[in-house]
Amino acid sequence: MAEETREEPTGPSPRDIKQIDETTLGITWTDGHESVYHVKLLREKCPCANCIDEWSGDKKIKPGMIPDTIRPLNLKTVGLYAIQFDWNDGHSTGLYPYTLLRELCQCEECKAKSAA
Amino acid sequence: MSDQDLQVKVMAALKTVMDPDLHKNIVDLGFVKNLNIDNGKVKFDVELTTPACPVKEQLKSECEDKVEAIGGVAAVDVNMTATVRASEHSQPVLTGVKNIIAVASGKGGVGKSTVSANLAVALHQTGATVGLMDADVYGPSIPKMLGIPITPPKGAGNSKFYPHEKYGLKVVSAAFLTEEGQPLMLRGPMLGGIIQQFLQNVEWGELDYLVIDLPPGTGDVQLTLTQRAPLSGGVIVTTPQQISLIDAEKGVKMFQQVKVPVLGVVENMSYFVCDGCDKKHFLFQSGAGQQLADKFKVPLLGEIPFIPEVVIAGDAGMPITLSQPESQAGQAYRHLAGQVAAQISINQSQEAKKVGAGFELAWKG
Repeated sequence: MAEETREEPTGPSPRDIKQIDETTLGITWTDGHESVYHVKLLREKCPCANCIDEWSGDKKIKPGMIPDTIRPLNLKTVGLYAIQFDWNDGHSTGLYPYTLLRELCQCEECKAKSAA
Repeated sequence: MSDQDLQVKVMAALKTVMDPDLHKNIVDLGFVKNLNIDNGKVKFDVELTTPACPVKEQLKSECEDKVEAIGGVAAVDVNMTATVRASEHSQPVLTGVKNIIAVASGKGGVGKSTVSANLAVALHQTGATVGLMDADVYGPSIPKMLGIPITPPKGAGNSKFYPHEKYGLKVVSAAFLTEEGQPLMLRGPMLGGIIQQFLQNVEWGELDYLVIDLPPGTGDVQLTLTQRAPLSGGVIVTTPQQISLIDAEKGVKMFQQVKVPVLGVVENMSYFVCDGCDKKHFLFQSGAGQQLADKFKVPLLGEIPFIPEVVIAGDAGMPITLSQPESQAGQAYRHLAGQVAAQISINQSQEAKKVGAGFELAWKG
């Protein structure tokens, strides 16, 4: 029975998290997938209660609200399931669960899949 | 045969002894230590990953039998030892604690505290160093179950404090922070603060296992713990009736969402053994624990019988695993401790390399 549970029942986790260039974050996952993220998109997709209304689910960040100069200052893992970013606009309340980060992946393969 | 030749044969024989949980032989697992052969007398240690290993005796006799069968062996002396391996984490809290086990349930009244206390005692009985954190801030009951008087913890300087000690366990509880009998009435942020204290300011020392008794449900305390404490795994306690499954499932999903491995399910109050006829009576129907385990593909770690002695022992301040170790409940708890420890060892051996809790990256702009 033990083996069956080893297929990571809760989905992949990051094996490595690194800065690729000034505006790109890279995550290599335990299943081998290599994700890339433009940091501005990550800021726009912040899942915290200030950025997405807790009751209605309305997005409070409108297109164009986040400047091109947005950068993380620092990022850290939270428990075993999420990454928290400290942004240069003072925002830091968003916890990005690994499942959300997988959905936001902007590698060519994932972008093609979500476009299809 | 020379002792050198014998050494080769002994190692070859031990390579055929498999650990049934880790699915590898004990030589490749690095368990065989201090092999010494003197005039055909073979002596070695087998160092397991937990003193609570449920197959310890089985492995020992298999080693003895296989080595004795080698021609030229005059005597075999196998010494079973254990060094608990630490679950990897780089979080700056609980650094002396090797493994943290959270005991949870979706709903209250399933006997979570009784299970936590007995699990901690049973782990300690195997020779492990064990701590018990009563994180049930609303209804802390661990001090009563262990017969610890409500006294403030002893300060250790730098705003740190020492846990209480009883029956060889190190114990902290929210009950020690209040007057006896007074309710702890707190808003969310304060709750998180208490748990943060328990994580950062307790001088636990070196522990093989820290058992955390969570409050029922999926609220602030559970969130703070899963975000701040490097948990090795969660144990879900349920009762056998179908209705308790609804809430127990939420407990499993909570751990899964925050990616804490679910070690398995414990079914408490599984059956009642009649003192007149020794028959098992399944008062609450049966099988909810197994169903939950099957649904989420996790092991059913144990089924604890419903016997009055468990309650009497808890009320008297001495868990049944201590007061009546040979009772059915005592045996069930020892079995549970073995399964929990084995499951943690299995997870560690199969753990994929990944970014741990406490990882930080400064952005270069």
